Amino acid sequence: MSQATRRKEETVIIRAALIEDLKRLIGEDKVLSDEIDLLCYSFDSSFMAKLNRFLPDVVVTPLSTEDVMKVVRYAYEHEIPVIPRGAGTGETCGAVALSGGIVMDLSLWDNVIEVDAANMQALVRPGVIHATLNEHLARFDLFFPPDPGSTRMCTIGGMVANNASGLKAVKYGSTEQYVLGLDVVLPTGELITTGGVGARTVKNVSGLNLTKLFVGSEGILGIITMIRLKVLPKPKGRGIVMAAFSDLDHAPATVLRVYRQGILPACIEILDSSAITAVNTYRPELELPDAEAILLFEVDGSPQGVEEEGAEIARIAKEQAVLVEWATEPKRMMGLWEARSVLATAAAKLRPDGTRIFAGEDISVPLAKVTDALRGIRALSLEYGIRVVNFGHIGDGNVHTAPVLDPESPDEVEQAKLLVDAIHRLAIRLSGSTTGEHGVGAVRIEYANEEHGAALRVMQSIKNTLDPKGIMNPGKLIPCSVIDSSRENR
Amino acid sequence: MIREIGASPDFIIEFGKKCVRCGQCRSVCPVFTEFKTEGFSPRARVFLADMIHRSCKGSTVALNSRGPAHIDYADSSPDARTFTDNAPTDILKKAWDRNLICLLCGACATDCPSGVPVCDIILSMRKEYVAHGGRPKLVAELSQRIRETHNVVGEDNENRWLWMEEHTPISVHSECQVTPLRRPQGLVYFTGCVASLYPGAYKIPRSMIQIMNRTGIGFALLGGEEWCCGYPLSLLGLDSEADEIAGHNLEKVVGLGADTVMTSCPSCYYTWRHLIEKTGAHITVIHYTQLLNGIVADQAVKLSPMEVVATYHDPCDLGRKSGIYDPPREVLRSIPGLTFNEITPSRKDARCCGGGGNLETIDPELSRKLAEARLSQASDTGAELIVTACQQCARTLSNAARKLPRTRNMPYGDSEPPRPDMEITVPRKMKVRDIADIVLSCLQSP
Ligand SMILES: Cc1cc2nc3c(=O)[nH]c(=O)nc-3n(C[C@H](O)[C@H](O)[C@H](O)COP(=O)(O)OP(=O)(O)OC[C@H]3O[C@@H](n4cnc5c(N)ncnc54)[C@H](O)[C@@H]3O)c2cc1C
Ligand code: SF4
Ligand code: SF4
Repeated sequence: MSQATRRKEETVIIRAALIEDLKRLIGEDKVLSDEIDLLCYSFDSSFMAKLNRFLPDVVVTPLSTEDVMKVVRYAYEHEIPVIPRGAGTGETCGAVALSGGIVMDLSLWDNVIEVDAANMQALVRPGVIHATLNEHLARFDLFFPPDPGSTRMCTIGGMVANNASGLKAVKYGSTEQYVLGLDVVLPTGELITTGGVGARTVKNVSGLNLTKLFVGSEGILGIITMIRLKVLPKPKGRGIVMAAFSDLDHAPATVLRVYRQGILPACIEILDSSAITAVNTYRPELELPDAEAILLFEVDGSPQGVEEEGAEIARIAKEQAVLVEWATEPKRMMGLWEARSVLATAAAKLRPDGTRIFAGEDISVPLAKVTDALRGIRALSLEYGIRVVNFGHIGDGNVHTAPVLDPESPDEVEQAKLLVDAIHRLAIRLSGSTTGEHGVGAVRIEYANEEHGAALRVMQSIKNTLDPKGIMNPGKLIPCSVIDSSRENR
Repeated sequence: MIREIGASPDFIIEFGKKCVRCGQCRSVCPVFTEFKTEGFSPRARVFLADMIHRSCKGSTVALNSRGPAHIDYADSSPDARTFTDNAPTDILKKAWDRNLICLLCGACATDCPSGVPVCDIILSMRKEYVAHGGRPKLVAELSQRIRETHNVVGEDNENRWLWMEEHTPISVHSECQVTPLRRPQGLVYFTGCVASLYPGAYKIPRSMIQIMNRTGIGFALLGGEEWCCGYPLSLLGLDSEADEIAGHNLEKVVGLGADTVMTSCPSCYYTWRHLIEKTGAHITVIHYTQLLNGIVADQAVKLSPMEVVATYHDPCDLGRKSGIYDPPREVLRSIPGLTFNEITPSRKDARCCGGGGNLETIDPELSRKLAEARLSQASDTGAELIVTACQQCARTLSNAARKLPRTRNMPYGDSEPPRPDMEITVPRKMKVRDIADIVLSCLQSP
């Protein structure tokens, strides 16, 4: 028997033991080890996961804090990677096992424990779906404002771990603004509560702010098992302003003038000419004007405030726009918003033989540099011969780029990789970041040094302190050279 | 075996590459919401189908399958597609099996941003399974039954007349002659196997013929010359057999000189529509909800009040797959006293009743749970009556409704006792009724 064959047999035995142990610990029904299931956990929404197949050794589906603690303690003792996972809608390869280990699917653990309407808070388990939480809250006229495009599928745990946000981040910010406290199972298996054990306050400055440390930690510091959220009263009124510009620079200039007028819209979206072309190709009946940019403003609040602010935005936009429309009537609002809502499909359908991909899709730049970013990306698109569709949350400088290509073509795939790298470097050059809301995962880890410099060492030492064996979601968010080499020595 | 699979439709690979795995389809799949593990998500079904077919055909992109950390695949090449290479037939068989646990409801494809026809991919995998010897007993039995008796039940096909007993004030010719027709012209009522042969569903055609009779609409029935529409056969991939019997039906209808076929079963409707598209025959296919809507819109009848809060459940084959949403709603809205509350989700987003895709046979318990979930959504509307326009939906929903406790409060969370302001009431006893039955009971004497 060759050494390699013997090694392979040994590892099969080890894996069988791992599966048996986990079944004993948390119950057979919460352990998935069949190849067909492992394959289904080998991807998230990222293009990287489309090109590679990242198989875990086993998947667990815990339904209690005890389950999580038992698995993590076991993994810590045996130095097995643990990869927390929500709905797997992340676009960064964050929720997949890069080098095997235990994928912990927390999406099944989806109870809304409590809506504390009197204190405007909600207590949830990590697997609750964003849209479901808002359905529960709507009964109390409340809502949880961060609104990712993946609302119908992503989990609150995944949102917290990625510090997700969405269209309305301009006014309402990102997830971190709403997380008051967390239960976290640390990589050692120990359970901690951040934000104060038993606290129900909205304001609380006692102690170091560990909540903020875990929000956006992408599962590398521990497993989030409970989340206490601040929620807000639902605005009663809503209105949409659409403005089309023949000059791209007029778009951010208008946004700035709106801000200077003291108006903070709930969201401000931009579609550049690439997006307008895509929408017009897919849905010609929408008849979007042949413009360089379209802005969509959403205002919310009291019905009277909405009327005033909407009218004022429309007035400001008219100074430079070639077309402005403003509506509060639900059907018309939907009509105006349609161009934005069909964008993903429009991008995907640009090429009958291809698709859009999730890569280089989330750069963030200062507002004053948004047009530079859009022009830069278009130039790069020409340079690398990969078509792109650009849109984004201009209000906070978050530009979403959808490269469209044939993933079957090795040439196009190679060119796309170069394009994506160039887009990320462009963002850094424009004093921006490679990611505004989707996170780093494995796909943007190579830019960590450039983006954070010496601060990266502090991040690494925090990681090493909390996770000395480097078992928690290895290979994501920050490069851990120390941990990597120790893993190699095992 | 695996090589033969490579001959499967290229569209699986074509759309497999388009799937961006966004997970949109996770949020709408009834089966996934029950299992909640990725292996039952529509995107995983697409992924597996794509992977299997790609590995048979040989991919142009080198898929880099890294082995798990604890399994050192030192002796395998970096590009090895380890699992499929090692155990292709095992994965394939399991994927086939898993695709039987699907309602074929089509919800997954509705909002897919990449236009992936997920449901067609699943159906194609099912057909492939059968073509490779899967479900031999079911296939053999069904095929033989339909070939010999011309219906899915296996009864003497002349029994298709039985539901008519006591309800034959109209002239119906077993020789299939058209009775004097008024409106619409030359109408054949294609009753379908279930409505004509299952006593539990007799109410539908019985209501329809009484309504048509009282409104002076002439029609013909094919009776023993009506054969199964072919839908159950095409679901199993027995397309040529399905075409053959559908051809018989078309021949009879054309032979009668009819220009319209009306079905009450949404699957018959779907099948007939496709048959007409394929053959180009000059026949209009309508669903009974359209005729009923025509009747009430024409004010051809006066409807007596029915004091009830009702909602309407869209059958998948009628709504999402055939685009008929408004006629049944308009019928209900025209009944005086009836308060119509829309169910969420509805229309193209409607959730399957749990009876689609033959799931009731494959996994009755799951089918029942899904029906309960739909009833719960109906109950949220405040309705006491759920109306539908499909004998299968009516059966699945009413069977589940019968087994439910009158009211039930769900504990809100896992750590606290339910608080009064957070009680969720899940289905009270709900009545499930067919739309023709409702219309008939509101029909005033002329
Ligand atoms: C169509 C589409 C639209 C999107 N739109 C937006 C958008 O508008 N804004 C936005 O911010 N993002 C968006 N995203 C990205 C993604 O949906 C979000 O990042 C989301 O928060 C991920 O949630 P998830 O449950 O899918 O997490 P996963 O993808 O499963 O995991 C994401 C990360 O969180 C970690 N994690 C998950 N659960 C836990 C837990 N309980 N404890 C510790 N770590 C955990 C994982 O390890 C991983 O690193 C979009 C994605 C898609 C496909
Ligand atoms: S919705 Fe479409 S693109 Fe998204 S995961 Fe499902 S099949 Fe793939
Ligand atoms: S057809 Fe229906 S049950 Fe089947 S995968 Fe799609 S949504 Fe789920």
